[in-house]
Amino acid sequence: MRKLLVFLTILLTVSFLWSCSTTKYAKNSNGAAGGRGQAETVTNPQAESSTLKYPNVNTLNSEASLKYQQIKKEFRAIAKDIHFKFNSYQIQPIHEYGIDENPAEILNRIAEFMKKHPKIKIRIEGNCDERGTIEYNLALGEKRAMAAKNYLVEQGISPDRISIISYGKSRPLDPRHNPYAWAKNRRDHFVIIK
Amino acid sequence: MRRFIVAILFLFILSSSSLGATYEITISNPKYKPITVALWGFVKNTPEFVSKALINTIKRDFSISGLFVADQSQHFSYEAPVSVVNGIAKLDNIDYVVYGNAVISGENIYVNLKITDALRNTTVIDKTFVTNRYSLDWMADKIVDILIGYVTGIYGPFESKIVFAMGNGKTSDIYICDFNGQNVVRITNWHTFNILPKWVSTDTITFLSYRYGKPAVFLFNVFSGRLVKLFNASNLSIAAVRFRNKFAIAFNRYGSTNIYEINEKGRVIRKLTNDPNINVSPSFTPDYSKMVFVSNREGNPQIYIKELNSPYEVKRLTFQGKYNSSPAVSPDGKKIAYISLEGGVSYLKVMNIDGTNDRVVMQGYSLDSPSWSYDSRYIALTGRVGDKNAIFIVNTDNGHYSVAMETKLIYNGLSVSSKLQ
Repeated sequence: MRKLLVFLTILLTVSFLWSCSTTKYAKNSNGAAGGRGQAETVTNPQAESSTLKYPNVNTLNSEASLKYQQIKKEFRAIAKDIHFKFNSYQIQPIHEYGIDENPAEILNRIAEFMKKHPKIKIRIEGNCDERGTIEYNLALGEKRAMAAKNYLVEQGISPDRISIISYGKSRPLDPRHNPYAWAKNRRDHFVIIK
Repeated sequence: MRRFIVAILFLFILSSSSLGATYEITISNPKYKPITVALWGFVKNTPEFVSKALINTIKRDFSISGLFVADQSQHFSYEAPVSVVNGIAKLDNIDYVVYGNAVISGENIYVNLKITDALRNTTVIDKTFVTNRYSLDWMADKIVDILIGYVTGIYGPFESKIVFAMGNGKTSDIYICDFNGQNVVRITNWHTFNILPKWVSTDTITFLSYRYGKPAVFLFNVFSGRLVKLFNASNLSIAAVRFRNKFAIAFNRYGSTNIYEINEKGRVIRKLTNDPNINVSPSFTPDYSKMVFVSNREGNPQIYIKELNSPYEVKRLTFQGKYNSSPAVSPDGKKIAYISLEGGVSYLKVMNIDGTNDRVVMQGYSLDSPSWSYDSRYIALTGRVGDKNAIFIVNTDNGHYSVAMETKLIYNGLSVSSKLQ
């Protein structure tokens, strides 16, 4: 009798611990995740959908990944930010407040790079300085990104390989409040995404 | 001679009767001194935490209103006779008295309030309000609103909430606070960009989020927590505002940014502007007959107004300066607040709905997102003045402004609700 009691106690403890340790994910297929309001389904994140921030562990050390990292490094070296005058989205040479560049030269280098690596895709991020208003600057940032995209398309790059986004004035590179910081912040930033 | 005397007498009677009938105050002099109000209650026969909450918030609201300062030299309980309190106030050259006490009974707090007009020796309000420990600030806001309503003829603005976005340059989240900047609550915590929140009803806000990479406009019920994706059919969609029982959203289509009417399912109903340049920031008159917006169709961003009924005429309203943006039509439909930029300095300006009587109300740096309170007198906006990066509350009658909330982070939009219960 005593042995039976000990056995039952162990069995109950083990089953209790087992039930605690199991993570219960609602399954997509039956959609019957119980609970309040709308059925919420939770699935394990898929390895192939990993973002650049959390790369797939299976490919971290692969040859392709190393090559990709190398391409990214090269891209970063040539795809410098291009800058704009206040309230403008013209691609034109700029020589003011510490900025001394011809954006067309940078865009030409990006176009050449994209031709050399026909599989890569990029994103152009349009930004503005802090002086304008948020809503107008979002539209202006988008125009700046679009201007660079159009230039690259004119150089023979497929528009499908270029996506654009605007952050308006919400992501300043230099948070100071002076003409030099503003000049730095009126920019297109280029990111390799694939 | 007789006629002359009769005429003088008539003029005298006319002028004295019109003086007697006037009790609205329009303050337009920036050097105007605030009215001293006796805040002589809520110390005696009042639990300490209730006293602290009510008095602190009333004083804060007085300061933000730009109308009042508090005198706390006396303490009276609710039972004190009005004639005695008014008598003492008169001796102290004080025109208005707020006094009373509060009693706790179970979960409820009974706030016994008296507001008196010492000059006329009358009682403005004598009422018991039932509240709870979590709503004491709101109760204090109500007291100040009643007083502002009596003194100026327009009920005060403090029974509203401000929704705003704030970030560090890498992420931005949505927050809600009281109109005076108290009780800040964070709404999103998504480690991404969430900007340009707008109230679209008394319980729902919209905002722009980059949560899924491509910017999308979300609808969020602040009470139920229900979140719905409203619109993401463009690589650039900007904040949604209420337009009749639908929404107006500026977004990019075929390379130009126009304002569109969108239904609650995110479907485009019609174009509200038709121009190949930038057209953003729609704001509507209360009857939705006119839309005020920003366009760079003539080179620089300027404010335009469009008739939404035939003949659909578009008229430019701003001609001074090269950068005028972020218009907000007042809830009474009579005024437009907007931001004007000149040589790095930004100005909050207010003009009549037809563009006349254009005037500077406030000056600062990076002023943005002006939003009217429901009384059409106060404006909340973000920006920098001196070393303060803050949400400011501006009294457009007298130009007085004060800080509601200060931060070192970057503000990414702001909107004031209508009057909440």
